[in-house]
Amino acid sequence: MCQECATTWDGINLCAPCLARRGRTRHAARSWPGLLLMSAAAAGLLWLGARLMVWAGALAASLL
Amino acid sequence: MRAALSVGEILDESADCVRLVAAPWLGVLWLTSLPLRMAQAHFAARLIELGREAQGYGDHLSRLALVSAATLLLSLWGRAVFANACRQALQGALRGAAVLRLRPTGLLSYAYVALLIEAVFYATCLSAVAVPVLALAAGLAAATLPFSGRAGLLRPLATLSGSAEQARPLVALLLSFGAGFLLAGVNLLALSQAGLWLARGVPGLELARWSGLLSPRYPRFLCVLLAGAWLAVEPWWLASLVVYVHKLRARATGEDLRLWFERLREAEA
Repeated sequence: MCQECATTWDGINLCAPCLARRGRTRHAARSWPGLLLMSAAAAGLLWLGARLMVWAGALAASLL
Repeated sequence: MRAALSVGEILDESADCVRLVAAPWLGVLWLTSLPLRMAQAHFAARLIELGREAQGYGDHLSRLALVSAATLLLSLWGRAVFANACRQALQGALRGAAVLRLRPTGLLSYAYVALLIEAVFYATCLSAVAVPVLALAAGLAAATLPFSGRAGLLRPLATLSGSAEQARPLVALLLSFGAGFLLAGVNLLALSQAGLWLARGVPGLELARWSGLLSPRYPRFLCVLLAGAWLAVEPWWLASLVVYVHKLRARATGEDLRLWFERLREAEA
């Protein structure tokens, strides 16, 4: 395959079928349960982070 | 066997990268980081002012912490955008407003990991041992995760650990930027004192209050000074980690060898 026929993706020269296969894999990688789980975890961590900030801050201030 | 990544090269390229993306993406990074750093500085200053009585002000501190958490989300977006700009500049394809177009999955996985690191930071910050490692992990997360399409609770963490492949350059970068942070703080302090000294020459200007406010013994000023030092260093820190990840990826794909071969051919021609 010549360089003119290839498309560079992440530093690799790929032909059209390989490029299409990569695109499909990327599209399939979007898993909704995973996204939902991650969103719920991020929301929980946001709340936990704020709580821990207060706890650590108050503890550090009491040591001053 | 190929040699370890050179820290000098990474720092040089990151300086070029920041110069390329400075207008407007450096401004975006600073504007989105400023509220978080100011909220954190205010929180720390309030804690110092309250001292041992801080435990009796739980509600007040919780409100401040929630403000800080909200500004953190804005800051994460700004960091992801800046990292994307650096990444596009390194690929030689900086495309204006396209820098803002980040994949929702990547952005969410970055937010999830960054919030996890933040929680671990607050849980372990009193020991101070884990702080440098967590700072490095937070920077690497900004340089890697907004561009990965992997959703799940463990996949983003696996991607992040994969990017920490070479410990030596990362430790060297951490030490360099730790020193840079201290130097930036000292410079900002010197700048504020120089400004105060110059202002003394203005007739009729009452500076007694400002002398107290800009004194390093005033906790609130010290907190703002540290926040300012971090703001000054952050763009180069992020850019250097993006360069590191870019170089690591180029090695994995063989892109670095192809470029090296092209340079050899150009030299021969």
